[in-house]
Amino acid sequence: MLSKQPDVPETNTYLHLIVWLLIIFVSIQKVDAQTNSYSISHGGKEIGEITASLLQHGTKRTYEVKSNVDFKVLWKNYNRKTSNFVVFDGLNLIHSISDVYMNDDLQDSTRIDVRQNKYECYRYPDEQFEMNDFKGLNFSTVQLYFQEPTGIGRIYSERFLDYCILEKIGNHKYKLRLPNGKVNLYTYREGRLSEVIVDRGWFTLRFKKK
Amino acid sequence: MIETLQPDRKYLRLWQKYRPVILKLMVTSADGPQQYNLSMHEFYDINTKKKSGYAFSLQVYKSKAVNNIKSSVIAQDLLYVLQNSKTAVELMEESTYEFELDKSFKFYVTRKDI
Repeated sequence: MLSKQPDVPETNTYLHLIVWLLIIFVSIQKVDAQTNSYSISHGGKEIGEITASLLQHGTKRTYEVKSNVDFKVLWKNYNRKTSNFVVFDGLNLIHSISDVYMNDDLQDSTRIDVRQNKYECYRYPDEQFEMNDFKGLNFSTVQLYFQEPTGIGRIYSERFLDYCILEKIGNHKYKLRLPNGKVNLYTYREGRLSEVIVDRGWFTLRFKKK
Repeated sequence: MIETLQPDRKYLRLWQKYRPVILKLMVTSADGPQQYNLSMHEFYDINTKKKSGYAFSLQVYKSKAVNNIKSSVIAQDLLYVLQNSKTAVELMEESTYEFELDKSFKFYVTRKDI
């Protein structure tokens, strides 16, 4: 005579199944995060820092780069904060916000959105234009903090809403010409950004990986 | 360009950043209601513990609020930014505009012809 199996083992099987499904779901949704910090110095004196973070979730990568610098010109103190928030889906930029504050006042702000297969670009206070080469933005300046731009000749600047020419000037060294005519020099070590020299003519800043 | 931040207007800076977006939405609302997804993280950066939420409705005509926005600092700051834009002021002279922000940070602009 067969006796009826108790319910408990069957319930356990279901519980195991649910636990395994949860593990599989969490694995699929795995989020990778990296953060790099850099000190900013001028004339050998540390005057600020930059934090660059990258969050990868599925096909989406969210970059956030924030800088905070204190400096003095003649007798006046200044604080300059910048932030770049950029989202890529696969190879393509899909959203970007770039802000510059001087002494907590908004100095510059730009934004990029994708709408109806076009890039919509906005610049504070009133400028707006569209870019038709949708899917054309696949390397932007925030990525320089996480990836050596091997074989790349131009990079999109979220802040200037324009392309910048990138030139290899040595072993793992690159020169980025900004649309305003200024130049940044990037140096990589073992594929990671180790130093940035920001040449602004009358003063030079050095970003060094902490 | 530097626009000095007024004291106690904590959402002003945020609306300043959105100013070119809002102006575009106001212009294109002549063709029908417009919608734009605002970035939630920008609001949370300003005030993470806002219990009453961020949603509001603001109706403006001739640069003045038509509805009561006394309870919404966010709406008041938006009105301030609109009043400081020449383009927005010109548009608001001709029509009533309704600006709405819902709980999921969707921002709506509707032009209501007189």
